[in-house]
This record gives sequence, C-alpha cells and structure tokens, in this order.
Amino acid sequence: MSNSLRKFHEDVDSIYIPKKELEKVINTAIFHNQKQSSVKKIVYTSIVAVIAFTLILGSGFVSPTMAKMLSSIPYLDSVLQYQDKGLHIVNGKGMVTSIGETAMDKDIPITITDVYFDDARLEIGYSISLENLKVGDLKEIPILGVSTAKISIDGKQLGYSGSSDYRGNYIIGTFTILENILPSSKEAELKIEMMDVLNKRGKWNFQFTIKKVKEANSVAVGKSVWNKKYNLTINEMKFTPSATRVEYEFDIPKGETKFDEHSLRFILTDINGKRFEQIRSGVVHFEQTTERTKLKSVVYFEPIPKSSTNMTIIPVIQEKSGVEDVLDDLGISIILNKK
Amino acid sequence: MKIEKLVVRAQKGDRKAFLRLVESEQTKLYKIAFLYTKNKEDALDIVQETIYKAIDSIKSLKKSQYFSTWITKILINTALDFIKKRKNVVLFETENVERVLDKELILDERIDLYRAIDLLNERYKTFIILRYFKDLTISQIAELLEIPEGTVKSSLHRAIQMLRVTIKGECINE
Repeated sequence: MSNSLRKFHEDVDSIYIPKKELEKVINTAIFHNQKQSSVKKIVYTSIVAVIAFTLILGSGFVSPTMAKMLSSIPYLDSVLQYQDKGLHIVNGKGMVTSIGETAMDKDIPITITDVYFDDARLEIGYSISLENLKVGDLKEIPILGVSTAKISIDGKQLGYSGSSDYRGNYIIGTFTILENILPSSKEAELKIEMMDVLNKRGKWNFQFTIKKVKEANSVAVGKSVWNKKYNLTINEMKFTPSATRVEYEFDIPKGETKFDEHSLRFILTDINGKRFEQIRSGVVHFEQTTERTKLKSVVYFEPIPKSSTNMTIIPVIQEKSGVEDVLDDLGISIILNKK
Repeated sequence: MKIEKLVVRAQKGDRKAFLRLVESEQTKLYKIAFLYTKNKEDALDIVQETIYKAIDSIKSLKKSQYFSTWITKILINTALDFIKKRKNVVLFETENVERVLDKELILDERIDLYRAIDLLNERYKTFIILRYFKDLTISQIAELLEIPEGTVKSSLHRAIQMLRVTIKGECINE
C-alpha cells in the first residue's frame, strides 16, 4: 500500500465517531418508521376501547374482551436496550425478557415492555402510548412518565429510581432497582402498581415472575491510593452480564463542606487505554470522622470483555464550570485473574 | 446470526434484526457521510435519512449477502442529494469517456488524500471514497453506481489529476 493511501486510511480511522448521537439517530430512524406504520391502527383501537368499555369497567378490572383488545394495542416492544450500553449488550445476547403487557386506565395505555434482572440490578422498561393526548397537553404535565408507583418483590415494597423520555408518539421510561435491596433468590414475584401517570390518578397494575440471569463474579480488590488531599479505595469489583460494578470509598478533608458528591465520577480503562462507559451511580453514603469525610458508594460501568486482565480506575471531579479535574495520581490498577 | 438470516427477518418486519444489520455498518456509514461533508451534524442527518430509506426499501434487496453494498449505495445517493439541495449543483453530468491506462490511476505519494478530497466536487469525491476508503474495484464501483466501467476509470483519472493539481497549488475550479 502506498504511503498516501496508508495515511488516508489512518486519517479515516481516526475520524471521531459520536457513538451516542449515532446510536440515537439510528434508533430514532427505526422508531420513527415503526410508529409511522402504526398510527392509524392506534387511533381506531383506542376509540373502540373508550366507547365500549369506559362506563362498564372499573379501574383495575380487566374483562376478557378488554384483555384481548389491550393485547392488540401497538406498543414499543423494547425500551431497555436503548437505556445504557450494558442493557444494549445483554439485549443483543437475548438476556432481556420481553413482557408486552398493557394496562389501560384514564384513556392512558401503559405497557411493560421488557425486564432485565441480574445480581447488579433490576430494570423494568415501559412505554406509554400518547395517541389519546394532544402534544399541547403535554406541556402542562410536570413529569412526562410515571410519577408515583409502588414496586414490590415477593410482597416487599422496594425503593427505585425512574427515568423517562419523550419519543414522538410515546413516552418511554424505566424503573431501576439496584442490588443492595434486591432479593438474592433466582426467581421472584414482581408487582408494579402505578398510581399517578401524566397528571392523572388511576390504577395500572402488573404482576409477573422475574428470573435472574447468570450469577455475578466478584473480585476483592482492597487497594487504596492517597494524594495530598484525597484518598481513593476500591473494595470490590463485581461482573454481571449487564454491568461492571465497582465499590469504592473516596475520602475528602472534612473542611471541604462544598464538595458535591454528584461531581465525582470515574474513568475505567483497560491496558490499551480503551475507556468503558460509566452507566450508573449508586447512592452515596457519608461517614464522618474527626478529620475526614468518607463517601461510600458504587459505580457501574458497561460490561468489560473476558479478555481484559488489567484495568485502571481513575476518579474525576467535575467542577460546576464544566472543567474536569482528572486525578491521575489516584489511579488504581486492578489485575483480574482469568478463570 | 448470519447476515442473510438477519436480512430475511428484517424483510419480514423484524426491527431488531434490522437494527443489528445497521449496527454492523454504522461506523462505516458514518465515516463515508463524514468524508462527504466533514461535518458531524450533516453526517448524522445523512445516516438517519439513509436508515429511513433502507427500512422502506429493504424488501427490494434481492441478494441478502450484498446488504453492505446495498446500504452504502443508499447512503451515497442520500449524501449526494443532501449536497445537491445545499449547493444546487448538478452532480453526475455525462462526460466523454476517455481511454485510461491502469498506471494513470496510481495516486501520487505526496497527496494528503483526507484533506485533498475536500477540494473535489462531489462526483469525484464519490469515486475517491469508493476506491480508496471502501477499497472497491473499478467493476464494483461501476456496479454500485450503475455506470459503465469506462466512466468509472475516466472519472477516477480526472479526480486523481485534480488532486495532483492541488499539490501544484493551482486552482482546481478553472
């Protein structure tokens, strides 16, 4: 190959790929096409539902006829794969379970689209069809998604975090429950009761069995690094199909009262410098001693390949101005033994 | 899963299968779009429009093993449409086909191709991208663009000559 061509290929190889934006436009193109073909069907189905069933059924009761009608309402069949890279990967491996159950109340059909359950997290995806709403109505609604819900596993109510996104004719959202409160059993009964959706109070109830995908592998790390100001300790790394979980403690001087825990994030790289995306952060717990304040939490990255043996984790503090302070001197190398 | 199976499933309306097909091509598609525009937003627009068109016409793909070539063609046409709308230019006018020797299609070593293609019009840019980024042969380019091989050779020749002119510092618009 000539030098000119070699250089051309090198230049093309180093074109920056805006991965998130590229994935978004691709997904939008596929969603947009999907909903285009479904619009008319949605309109007719919901009109029939409203006229025939509103006066007859109370909320929470679903007649066989209604159940059949609900099952024919078009919905987005997959939400979780678009939430973060880890979920996208496990979806590609067939580990995300499609649910496709729809409940209707107050003219709002909500579908639980898919569920993913492993040792690190339980993720529940849902979609809300907006065919009965005008786009203008949405502006008055403070939370575009499910505002209030009760999520119980094996009868025990659990805390969760939620997020939602407006996508043309749908709102898509997720409920996330992190592992510190999840049951250890491989199978569990999940119940979701949604009570407040798009500014309307009603009942949208779902119940089904969830099964955990393969067990996590853990590596005890127990390494600490100090600089003049901070200390980083990595206690443990856990590997599930959807995430690499890192348990850490980050020490700051007690005088730093303005330290914002949300400004702390991490970079995880392999031996070749490849970065792995941070996908979630856990709740931060504070511990005070006489001279120091300790932040204890977990951070989740995308899954790392089995071939990775040597990883480095580096803390980063992001100032309010947006400037990032990468604390290279606090980087910790972790050797992962192959099994 | 093999490409052929994914194409069959996509043709039956399986969006996930279509997504997997696109994911295997997305980086290449973006890079080609970027080579045309050297602008991230424009390149993303071109890729998005390409996907719309590909979904609508996937059933017309007769040989599933040629998915990559097929979607590349859609992307090139989309990129050219995009530029045409922006610049209001005619892109593929007919030209006299000259007899070109293979040795005349060799790139000058001094050419910084990545930068130099910015100075070419979209017609010649297309040939350079397909020949030197996609590494297609003359006959493959001819098949993709549905033009005679002689036209491909002469167009490539003209493109390379223009690149030589840019090294010499002359204005290539004359």
